[in-house]
Amino acid sequence: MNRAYIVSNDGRIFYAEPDSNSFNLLEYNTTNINNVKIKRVSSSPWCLWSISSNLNLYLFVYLLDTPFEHQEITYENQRRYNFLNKNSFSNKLLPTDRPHFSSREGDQNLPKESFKLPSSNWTWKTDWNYELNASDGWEYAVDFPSNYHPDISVTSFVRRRKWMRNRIFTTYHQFIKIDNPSNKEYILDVSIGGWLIPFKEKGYLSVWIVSSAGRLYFRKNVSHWNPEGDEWILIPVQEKIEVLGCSCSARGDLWIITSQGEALMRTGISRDQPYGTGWSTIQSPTSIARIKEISLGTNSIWCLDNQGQVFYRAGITNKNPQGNKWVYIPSFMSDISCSISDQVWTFNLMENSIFFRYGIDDENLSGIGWKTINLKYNLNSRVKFQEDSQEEIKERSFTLDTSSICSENEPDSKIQEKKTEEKIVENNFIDIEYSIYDEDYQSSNAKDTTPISDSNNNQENSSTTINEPINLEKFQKIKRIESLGNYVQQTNIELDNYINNLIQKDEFNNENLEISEIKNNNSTNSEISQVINLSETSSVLSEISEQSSNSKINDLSEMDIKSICINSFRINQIPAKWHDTQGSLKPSDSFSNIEFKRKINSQWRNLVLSDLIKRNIREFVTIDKISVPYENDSTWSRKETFQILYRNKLISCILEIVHSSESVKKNVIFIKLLNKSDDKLEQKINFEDILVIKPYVLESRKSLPCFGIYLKNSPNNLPLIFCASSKSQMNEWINQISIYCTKVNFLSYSLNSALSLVTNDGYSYFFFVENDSPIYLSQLDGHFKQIEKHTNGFTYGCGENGKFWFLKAPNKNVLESYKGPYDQSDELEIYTYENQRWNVVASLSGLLNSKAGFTKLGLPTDRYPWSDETGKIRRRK
Amino acid sequence: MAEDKEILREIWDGKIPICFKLAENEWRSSEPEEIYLMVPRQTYFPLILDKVQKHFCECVSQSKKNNEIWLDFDGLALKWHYPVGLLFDLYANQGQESVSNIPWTLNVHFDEFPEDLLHCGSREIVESFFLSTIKEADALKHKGKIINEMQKKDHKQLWAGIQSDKFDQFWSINKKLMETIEGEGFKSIPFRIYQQDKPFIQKLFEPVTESGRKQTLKDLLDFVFGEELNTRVILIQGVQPSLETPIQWLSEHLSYPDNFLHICVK
Repeated sequence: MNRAYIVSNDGRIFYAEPDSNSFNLLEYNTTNINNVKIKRVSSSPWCLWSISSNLNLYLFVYLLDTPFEHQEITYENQRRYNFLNKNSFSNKLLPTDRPHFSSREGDQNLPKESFKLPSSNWTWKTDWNYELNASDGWEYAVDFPSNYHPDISVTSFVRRRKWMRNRIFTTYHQFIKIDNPSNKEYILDVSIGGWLIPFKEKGYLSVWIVSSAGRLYFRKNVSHWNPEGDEWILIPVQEKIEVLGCSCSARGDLWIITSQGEALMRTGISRDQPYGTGWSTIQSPTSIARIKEISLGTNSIWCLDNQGQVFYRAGITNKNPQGNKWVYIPSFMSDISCSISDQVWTFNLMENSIFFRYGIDDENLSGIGWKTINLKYNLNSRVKFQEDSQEEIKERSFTLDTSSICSENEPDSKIQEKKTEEKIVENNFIDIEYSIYDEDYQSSNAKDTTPISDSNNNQENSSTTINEPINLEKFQKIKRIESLGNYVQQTNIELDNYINNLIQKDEFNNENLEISEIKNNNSTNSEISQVINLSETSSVLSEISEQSSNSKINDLSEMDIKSICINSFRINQIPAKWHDTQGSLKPSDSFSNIEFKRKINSQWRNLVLSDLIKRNIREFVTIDKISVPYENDSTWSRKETFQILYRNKLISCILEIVHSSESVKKNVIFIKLLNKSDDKLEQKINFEDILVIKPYVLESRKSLPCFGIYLKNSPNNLPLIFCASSKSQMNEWINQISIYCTKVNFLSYSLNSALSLVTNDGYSYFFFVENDSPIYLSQLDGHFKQIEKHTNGFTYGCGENGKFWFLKAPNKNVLESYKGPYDQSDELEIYTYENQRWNVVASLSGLLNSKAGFTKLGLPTDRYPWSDETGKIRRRK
Repeated sequence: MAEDKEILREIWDGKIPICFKLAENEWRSSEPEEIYLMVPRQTYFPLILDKVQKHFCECVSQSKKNNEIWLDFDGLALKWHYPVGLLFDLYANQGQESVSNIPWTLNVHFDEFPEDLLHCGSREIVESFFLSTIKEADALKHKGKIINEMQKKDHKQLWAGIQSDKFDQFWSINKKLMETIEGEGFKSIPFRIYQQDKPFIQKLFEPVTESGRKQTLKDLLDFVFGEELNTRVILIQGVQPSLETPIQWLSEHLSYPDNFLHICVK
């Protein structure tokens, strides 16, 4: 739903879609509520939240491809008491058992009757049912909680069955009344956003309202599966401050304006804290200016003061969401709205006209000037205007989007009026809202500009204006800004190459690198910490396209490290060897360039492993160093064919890693272009010069397995992009190159000078620092909540799954001899629970011992003597 | 698919400390100092004997110093075309708990090359022997499809991985040879059963029965020996796997680089 909305003063909503040249009335079903007059609207791709003229809040949900659906789940549990009859299960459970109907973990009582439709806007799609298997959906086990098997056996004393029921949201294209926070409070302002908060699940929405009591509320749990949300959460603002208005951006940022005319920015907004933690005061534009209206785009914020003066907030980046200063834009407006693409629309009550800002591009987010859209209306509410502006919404680039409005220079791109005989109703527009969401907007529109506008003209017989050919000049310079690190790069792009160049815009694939944790044990590096702290508040980066394919968000391989564009950042792969408490290596051991996935955990496998370890200890580990029979004199090279993106074309090339035996420092990569012409190019890359190597998504050909190598000294921070023939080839090469990068860097730097950090999506990185600037950043495997480095050289991490991990200091020595078996004794375990059962026999036999009675010999159905907290997983000391 | 890297790594890392002594009858004067080497189990002797040859060549009579050397253990000439680990398990390994032959003491000969031993003029001969064994193994596993689809450089990389003891280099190619269709095993398991003083046994054996049951090590041994196996010790890669271990898994993980599962029965 890529629409611009305007609200007429008679309470109707009109929308325009990018490829249409008219505003249409938003039709809605009036089954439940008749004739809602809307005063204000805030939009997201799949719904609108609007305020009616009597200051109530209404939700309007679009029916997209499929209705929103939610599955309720409960588990039915039964126990068997009859030892002889295998099938005599009873609904009566032991007092220590879980309820008859419970959650999967058994900690909640969830009888089927307890599931109610959240509101009348939902309906049950199915009745309760369970997954069919051979045994009527039952799974058997010795006891709760234990391993469940589909087949009944003699030792099956309990069983459970998963019941499911689906409900679907049914109320679309209607205004749904949402309760006010309290009876006495009415709604003054509403703003929704947050669907691009990085790593937030798809369908999430932040809904903020300002009540008539000057309070700010956040709606809890608004999402696809709960469009109405649960309840209002009062968000405390500073004392004695009344809130007048709020604006929330797609990536979740929130600014509010107070009754004093000040702007406050919400800080600490992240995936886990969608409503933030604190406030930061923004200086007013001028000493007398009091902000009345504010609107957040992506990299721009616009506000109006109480006199209608327009200000633009400059310097906003992901790292600096506050921006630097207000810039006065000489004009007077009554309302303002900024889109996700940073396009600004304003409304002037006096002139009763809508303006949009033209000349907004990546370099100049404040634009050049205002352009009027002359609106004339007719009775059937068909508002026509000719907007030749082809707004290209750059896919995936969310930092800014070009929104180049190419036909600005055309005179008289006027509104066409169709039915003049109809009485013209003057509508006063009291609110505008403009949003662009749809990434379907092909960049190719740029080329199609002329045909489109021609056809528009043809369609409209009464057209009085002939469009001049589109001024293509505009396209010849498409300038890009690296939003991160204030790194500006410019590229002149020939129109012919325009499409090809969009490939490079993939650059903007951003990853949120909100740093939630920085730990540094090395005091000399405190300055670095500050450097990093600057980015601590940096919030959100994401990819626009994620809104449609949010599944990617969780996809590890899709993540780009693009937020690191500061020249001084160096990124590399670290050889991290993580052990979990079970002492096993993670399958994705980053030492290897080979993927090994599944691990069979059966007895015979473990026997072989322990025997092998014993064998190695017996045969050589305990024996003093005896030299290895051969000198490591083999220089082996690896050579494979790739395609490289060279002058916007994919050209075949050969990549060759030459592995020198003398020193890892002498390892090099050769790139040989296989060009048809004679200018055969060959480039040598030293591993030391590599800054980052990572998978790369080509804008035009997303399915291609590409990777980019960023060099430390490359101009513009542009990567060399290679396209492999298969995903496995890509992964192999990335790993291979990463390993060498790591080895080279570890020769020069030790982990003692490293900082670690965890991004809010659970990725963790190591920094290396030199001369107070980070020189080397490497990603560790796994997802972590927190990692901390101890002065003993070990790094400890708390995994997202609550498990404890530690990293052996990958110093030089370990790196060289990492082949040796890691001592199992180095494993650390925490959270081990010892379980004992009081046993009659034992207590009798141990009468003399007052402590006797509890014994390690539990019942067969009991937990393991040592287990984790839930008793499900066996643990040993 | 060989996916259990932990196992593969331990297998690959296996080394045997070997003490090389010059055979007594070849001393030119006094006893030369022995030389100790830590020899990977997965390699072949000709790949590691350069150092030994250099070490001893000045200690033997001038006429023989450029002879091809050969090794014996307790009077048994060692076949160079068996992997080192196999030779150790077959002749010297006294069972899982024993350390009696560690380090393993071998006699080095420059003279009297045994007639029943294959000559090994150069590393290239070992390489072609190795590759032909791999091809044989793949013929059993995949009817030779995978090895034949590989390029020459892949073959080279396999060999280079062994020569320079590089796990990643070797396994990045070898994993392709260990691929199976999901849920199915190899066509048949490339295995050889060795007993002292007997030629090795090699038969066709499928990892999954027609009824779909996964065959175990026990099934294989029963198939080869019938009932007579009771008290024998089984050693693969220096360990005694449980008889219940699926043979497919063993083949994927405990095979030597030549892709054969070499089983010692003692």
